[in-house]
Order: sequence, then structure tokens, then C-alpha cells
Amino acid sequence: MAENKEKTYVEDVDRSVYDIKDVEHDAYRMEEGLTPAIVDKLSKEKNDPVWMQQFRLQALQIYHELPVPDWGPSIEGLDMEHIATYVRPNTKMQNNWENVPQDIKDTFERLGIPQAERKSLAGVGAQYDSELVYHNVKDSVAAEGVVYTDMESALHGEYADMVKKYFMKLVTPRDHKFAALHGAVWSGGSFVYVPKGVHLSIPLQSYFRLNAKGAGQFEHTLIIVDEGASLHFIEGCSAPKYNVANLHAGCVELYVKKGAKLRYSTIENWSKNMYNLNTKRALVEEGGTIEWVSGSFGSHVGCLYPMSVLKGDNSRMEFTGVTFAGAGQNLDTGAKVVHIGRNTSSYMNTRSISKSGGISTFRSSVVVEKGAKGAKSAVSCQSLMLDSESRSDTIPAMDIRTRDAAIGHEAKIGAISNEAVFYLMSRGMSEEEARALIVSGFADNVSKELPLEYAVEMNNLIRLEMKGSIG
Amino acid sequence: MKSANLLEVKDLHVCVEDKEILHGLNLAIGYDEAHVLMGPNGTGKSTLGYAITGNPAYTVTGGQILFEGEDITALPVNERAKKGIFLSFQNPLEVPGVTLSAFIRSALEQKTGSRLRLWDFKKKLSETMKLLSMDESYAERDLNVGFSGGEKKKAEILQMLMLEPKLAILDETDSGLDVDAVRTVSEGVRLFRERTHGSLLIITHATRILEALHVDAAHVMENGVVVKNGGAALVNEINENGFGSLK
Amino acid sequence: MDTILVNQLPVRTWNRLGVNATALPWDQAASRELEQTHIAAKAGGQETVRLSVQGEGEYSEKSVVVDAAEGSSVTVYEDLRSRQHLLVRTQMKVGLGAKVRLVQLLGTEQDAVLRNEVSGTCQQEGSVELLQVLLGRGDVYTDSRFTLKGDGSALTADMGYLGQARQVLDMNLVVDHYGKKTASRIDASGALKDAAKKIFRGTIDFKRGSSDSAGSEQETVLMLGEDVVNKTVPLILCAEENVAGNHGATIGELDDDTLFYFESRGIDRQTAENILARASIERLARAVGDREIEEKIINGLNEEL
Repeated sequence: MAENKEKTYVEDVDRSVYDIKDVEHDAYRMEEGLTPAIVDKLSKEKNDPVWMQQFRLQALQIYHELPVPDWGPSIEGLDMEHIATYVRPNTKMQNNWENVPQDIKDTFERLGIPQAERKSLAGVGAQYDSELVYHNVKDSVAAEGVVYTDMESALHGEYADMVKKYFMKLVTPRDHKFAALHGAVWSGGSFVYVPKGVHLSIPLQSYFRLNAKGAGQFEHTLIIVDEGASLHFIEGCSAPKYNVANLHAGCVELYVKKGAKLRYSTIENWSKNMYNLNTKRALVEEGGTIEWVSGSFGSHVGCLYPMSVLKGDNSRMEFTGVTFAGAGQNLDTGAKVVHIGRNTSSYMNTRSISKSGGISTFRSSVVVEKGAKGAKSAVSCQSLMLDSESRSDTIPAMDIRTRDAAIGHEAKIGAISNEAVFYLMSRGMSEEEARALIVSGFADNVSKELPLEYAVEMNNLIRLEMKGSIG
Repeated sequence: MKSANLLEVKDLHVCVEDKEILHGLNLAIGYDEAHVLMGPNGTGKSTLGYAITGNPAYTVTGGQILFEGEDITALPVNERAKKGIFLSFQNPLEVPGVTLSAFIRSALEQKTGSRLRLWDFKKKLSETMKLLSMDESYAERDLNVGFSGGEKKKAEILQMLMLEPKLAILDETDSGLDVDAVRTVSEGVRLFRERTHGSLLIITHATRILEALHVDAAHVMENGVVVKNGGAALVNEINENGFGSLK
Repeated sequence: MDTILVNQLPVRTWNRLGVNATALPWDQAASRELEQTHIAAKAGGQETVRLSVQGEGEYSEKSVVVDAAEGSSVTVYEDLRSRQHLLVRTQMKVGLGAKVRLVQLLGTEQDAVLRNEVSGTCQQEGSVELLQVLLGRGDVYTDSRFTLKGDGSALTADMGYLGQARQVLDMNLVVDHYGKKTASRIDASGALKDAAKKIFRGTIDFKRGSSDSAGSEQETVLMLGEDVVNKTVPLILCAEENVAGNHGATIGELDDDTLFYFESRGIDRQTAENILARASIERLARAVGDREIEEKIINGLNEEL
């Protein structure tokens, strides 16, 4: 049963999705479309407090000043004009189920996504009952003292001052062009506050916050874990998220207070037309710990480097990640850490897989400042090449400014061992199964850090990628 | 006045990473004596060796260590070494970039406080290596890098013979060695006793290394303390009946 | 006075790190060109050449061309001492099955700047062995690029350094694997004292078609000064499935276990640090296998310390 198409320009957007190769953009054309007037209207429609309205306009200014980065994957195909259109207020960018690309629908089928959820994931139509589920989760965590609400609501009401104090202070609009863009047009996202000493017993999942409007493209996540508290937050899901406009410039700011612990898990599987330029950063105080668990599967182009600032003494960071770049994908992922306090430690363990012409780049930065005495850092990255059409690049960098530090780094790249394949086949597996199993095993650094249902989803995703059934 | 004992360990408590391993250990070793320390795995034998040597990862939380009557409990590692304490490591470390020869020469220079005449040093080194059936080429190789287990142990004994300590602690020196290597190492230890008359504390749970040696005393450790002291006969008793026989 | 960009990283990364390239003031126009040295070995022949290059005047540059014909074996000892600003370019053409051994002693006087550029292309089964010792008190910028074109060609590169005072040691090394069964092994080890600043960029690039190739890179940096800065950028770029690449880096001060070992032999921390600071360079000096160069290096080292 067809829902109404709201505007004719939806057809333009559809075409551009399929014809993305024919669209040529250069830096200048990117500026078009996003005017102060649009941002102003957006702000009014959202009922922003005055400070936020001004903030957005300032961010827009910075966006126009900053150049496109001169390193990393090319973002030529970015459809900035339509993004400008997309963020226009009063947009009911509802698509028609018929317009959703077949490969996306096939993936839903293969991953066993319930019918009712498919539409919301595809940015089609109204919510079914994810709103209901969301409310249930919200109430149950409130019982433990945790505040979990959407960002827009958080701007007003009880936590308005807290939000104002922290919003885009960690990732500022000056950081890079897409942080500035985010600052100007952000919409949706979650605000979480865990009070002192509270340990939330269940992982909090952002999945429930998806909605058709904006479908999380410019969502802002702000999490504050107060002293001695702990939280496990899970963002994303393995089902592909499809959007008509192809940029995801989200922002995640995490504040881990003294003695607190935050685990931030993500499985990202944006559809294969998307440019995923997400910026995530954590600030860790004395004795605090941030753990990142990250599985990057989708997007046409992805740039993801969760960054941790180890400000307090004895603060810690752990990053566990896996990236799978298949046909037509260029995923540039990694992590960054800055050691500032004393006796801080950082650990990175990443695996990356490239297949069918995919390009996977591991990019990291470990900076140890002069005063960060007693710093320890260990980075281990492994890359698996599944054929010779693909690429796998490792670009790590270390900048160490104190002698009182112990820094280790190791990286390995290679192909699936033929002996391993032979061994599995000698036990009855087909070559395809053997290779899929080996790759799943290769990604176990992440899957064993995820709650079971996510790990299972992730492994299903890997299996599908290996069969070449997606995109 | 020389004290009666070369080494006295009095009521020693030692912790590693907040866990107490030695719970008030007592031990005395006289001048020119060979002692054997035995005990089941995990009982703290190596810990005692490290504590006497002064490894900072092992914290003394009670008791004393006296060397030639002097309290060395707070003395740093290199000072203890200069006073004549030597540890032959169970798993000698690889030190790329520093040759075996340069390492030993440097240690000797620290001990005597003056530069050695190269010719004299090389001669002595060469002779000692021959005694241990060590190929001369090892002298110019990076310390322990790529050495087999046996060669690493020989390198430790070589260092012992060149440095001539008053007390040499051998931590499982014969473990992992083949028959020939054990023979060579035993010979090296015997030579040490004969030439230097230094004392030995041999930590072992096999006893092949003792075959060529005259043992003056034996001690058995259990749960971080010495539970039995005896003469050479104690070694045989343990070998025949195991540690359980002590109960 | 121009500003040139040297030691460029094959793939750019975050600009904030300051590792993509180095901007260096250099007066190209004022540079005096010294006589070119051409070293050629005929097929199956052997050549050993000793070169000593000192700059002339404020800016000078020298070019050395090494042509190793099929099956030949060439050893070149280059003693490069910069008094002011000196650029030395050494290009190597390594023929079928030929071997070229290049030993470079890069030294600079205080306030002098040495730019060292090395490039080499290897045909089938050709190999290059590079040994570089960075001494002196002035700044050294060294950029080495190798192309393993022919199947079975190989490169080994060993670099040792001791940075002191406010010295800048800026290194770049790139190995492009094109042929099948090509191999590279890179080892950069050294120590930094006082307020020395060092950056090492090492890139192993497996091009499509370089199947059955292997590349490994190892870096060890001993940090001994209170104000030292160390930047390490070990890149592996890969477009070929059947290769094996790895790199490792260890940065820090004298580790506890090693320190304990030295102390247990009566050697205190200070002495141990001095021994280890010299270690990488002494090891390379021995590896050269030539008394004259070995002595030059050890003397140079003794002068420094």
C-alpha cells in the first residue's frame, strides 16, 4: 500500500542515488544550498533556545571558512546540494517503499529483519512501535536514576544547563569542516546522564531512537557518566540504514568523569551510497576508562577515528575494532588518543578485511604529551587481504614527547592462510565456508566484546559480505 | 671484623604486586660454602633469589638481608652486585646491540672502578670461554640474541667466572639443558668454587648439576618459608621420596 | 631563499601531526655543484669505492651515480660531512643479479644541515644493502627511495642514530615492491638525548602484482633526554593479496628488565644508558665489515660523547 510521495524532488534524489557516479562536485559547489536563512528556519522549527540558534549560525560560518581535508578518501561524490535541501525545515522526507533499492530490501530479507522494522530502517513512513519500545526502555532506566532522552528535549527542561555546558565543547565546530556542518544542522540524537555511583545493569541501545525524519544523519549523542558510575551504550545495528541524502555527519561526545567507566559499542552498516563522516570523542578524567568497540561494515566512504583524550591521571582507553571493506567501499577507520595525565594507558586492537576491490585503511594517531609521564600505549593492527583487487593500507603515527613512556606498535598484513583453508576443508567444509569461518574468527576481537545478539548479527553480516550477497 | 656468615636472611617478607610470597624466611650461608635450595614449583625460590639481588619489582615488607654483616635490604641492585652478589638468571634477557664481551667488560670496569687493559681482558675472556666449551664467536655476538637455551646459561656462567662474586645465586641453571650442557655448566660451577672460593646458592628442583659438586647444606622451601635444613643427605632424601616425605 | 618540501610521506595523514613532509629553507640558487662521481661496475665485475664529501661554501651539492651491471658487486663507502649546507644525491641502478652495498656515514657540524637523498632501482634478483649511521651535531634530512622492480629483488636497510642537543634527525624511507618474490627488511634503531628531535617515516608499498613478496620494518627508539621528541610513522600500503608485511616499533626509555640485568652486574643506570645509546651505532659499525669505516664511526661516536 503506497504512502504519498511528499515532494517531487524526491525523484531527483532517487536518481542521484543510482547515478552517483555521474554527479561531479568540487569544493565550491559544496557551499551552495546551505544558507543562514535555512539554518535559521531549521532552528526555529526545532524551537531552539537562543544560544543554540546563535551557535548554529556561528558553526555555519565556520563551515564556509574551513577547507575540505587534503588527506583521506575522496568525498567528491558527496551530494551537498541535496543535503542542503534535506535539512530544510518542514521536510517530511518520506520515501516510498518502492523506491528503496532492491539490494537493501534483499539484505533485510537475508538478515531476517522483522517486516515492521524494515520501513523505519529504510527511512520510509511513520514509526511502527519503535517509539513504544523506546519509552519502555526510557522508563526502566529512569528507575535506576539514569536520564535517557532525545537531544532536542534535553535542550529544554531539567538538564538544559548541563547540555549547554557540554554541547560541542569536546568536538568543536572548528575541528574540521564536517564538525562545523554538524554544528549548524544537527538534529536528533540522544542525551544520557548517569549520576554518581550508578551502574546501569543493561546496555543502553540507541537503536530505538531511529526515526524517519533525518534518520540519524546529523544526530548528536552526548553522554555524561558521572563519578564512579558506569554505562554500556550500544549504537547502531547491523541492518543497513538507508538514506535518501547520502551524508552522515553525526557527532558523539562522551564525558567520563573521575573513576567512571563507559563502554561505547557501535556496529555501523550504512547503505553503500553513504558518506559516513562521523566524529566521536571521549574526555576521560582521573581513573576513568573508555572502551570503544567498533564494527564498521557499510558506507561507500567512511572516515571514523574515535578519539580519546586521557586528561586525568590513571585514565585508560581501549579500542577494539573491525572494518570490512567490500566492493565499492573506501573505509578509512582507526582511532586517536592523546595522553595528557600521568600513568595513562591506551590499547588498540584492530582488524581489517578488504574484499572485491574494497579499500580499507587503518589510520591512527598516538600522541603522548611532555607531562604525560608513565604513559603506556600498545597498538596492534592486523589486515587481511582477500584478493588482489582490493587495497589495505596501514597509516599509523606516534608522536612521543616524554622519555617516561613505553610505547609499542605492531602491524601485520597478509592473506588467508592456505593451510588453514585446507585444514577446514579436510574436515568437510566447502572453500567458501572455510574462508567465511576464518574471516569471522579474524573479527572475533570485536564479536567477543559485544552482547550475544549483536555478535550473532555481526557474524551474519560477515557471512553475507563473504558470499557477496550485499551490494 | 668479618661476620660469621656471608649471607643472612632474617624473617624476610617479600611481596610481588600486593601478593606476599615469602612469609618470614630465614636462611644463612657461610663463606666458601655450596648450598642447595629446593622446593615445589611456585613456592618462592626464585623470589628469594630476586629479593637478595634487589629486584625492585619485589618489595621487602619485613625482615632483613645481611651481606658480610652489612644490612643491604635497602641497597640498590648495582651496589649489591659490586659488593659481590651475582644472580644467574633462569631466563636470561636478550640485549640487542650490546655484545657479550662489552657487557662483561663494562661490569668488570664498574667493579674495579678503572678501565681494563683490552688485551688482558680479551685473553682472560677467551680462556674462560674455552673452559666452558663456548665458541669464541659468541663474544662479539649481541648478548643472548639468538642464543639457544644452553648457550644462554653458559653465557651466565661465563659472566660468573669473569666477575668472581662472593655469592653466586644460580636460579634453575640446569633446567632445559641437554646432558652435555649440564656437564659443562657443572664444570664451570666447580671451577668457580675452586678458583674463587665464592659461595653458592643453587636453586633447583632437578639435581643433575650437583653431581660434580660438594654440597655443604641443603634447604627445603614450602609456601614461602624454609621448612627443613640439612646436609647433602637431605638432597638425596628428597630425590628418593619427594617433598611429601617431610611431613 | 626558497622553502622546499622534503621527506614527503607517500600518503598524507592528519596535518596536525606534522609528519606529511618537512619544510626546509634552502637556497637552491646559491648552491654550488660539486663534481659528479660516476661508479660503474662491468658485468660480473667488482668495485669498491671510498668517497669523502665535504661541502664547499655555504651551499653545495653532489651527485653520485652507481651503475652495477649484470652480476656485478659494488660497495660504496660514503663519508658525508657537512660543514654548512650540503646535499648529496646517490642514485643506484642495480642490474640483473647485481649487488650494491652502500654504507653512509652522515655527519654534520653544529649549525650545519645535511640533506641526503638515496634512490635505487633493482632489476631481477638485484639487491641493495644500505647501512646508514647518523652522527654529528647538526640537522640531518635523509630520504631514501627504492624500487624493487625485477622479480626476486631485495632491499635491506639498517639505520642507526644518536640524537643530541637540539639536533633534528628527519628520515624518510620508501620501498616500492613491484616484482614478484621481492623482499625488504628495514631496521631503524637509535637513541635520543637532551632535546633531540627525530622523525622516522618508513613505507613499505606492495603494488598489485608483487605476489609472494615480504616486507618487514622494525624501529627501536631509546628515549634518554628530558626534552626529546620522537615521531614514528610506519606505513604499509598493500594492493596485493599474496604478500606478508609487518612492522613493529618500540619506543621508550630503558625498560625495567634490561635495567635490572645491567644492575645485577654492577652497572648503574647512567652507564647502562650510555652503553645502549651507543649500541645501535656500534652494531652497525661492526656490520660494515671494514676497519677504516668502523674506526671512523667509533671515533665519531667517541667525539660526540
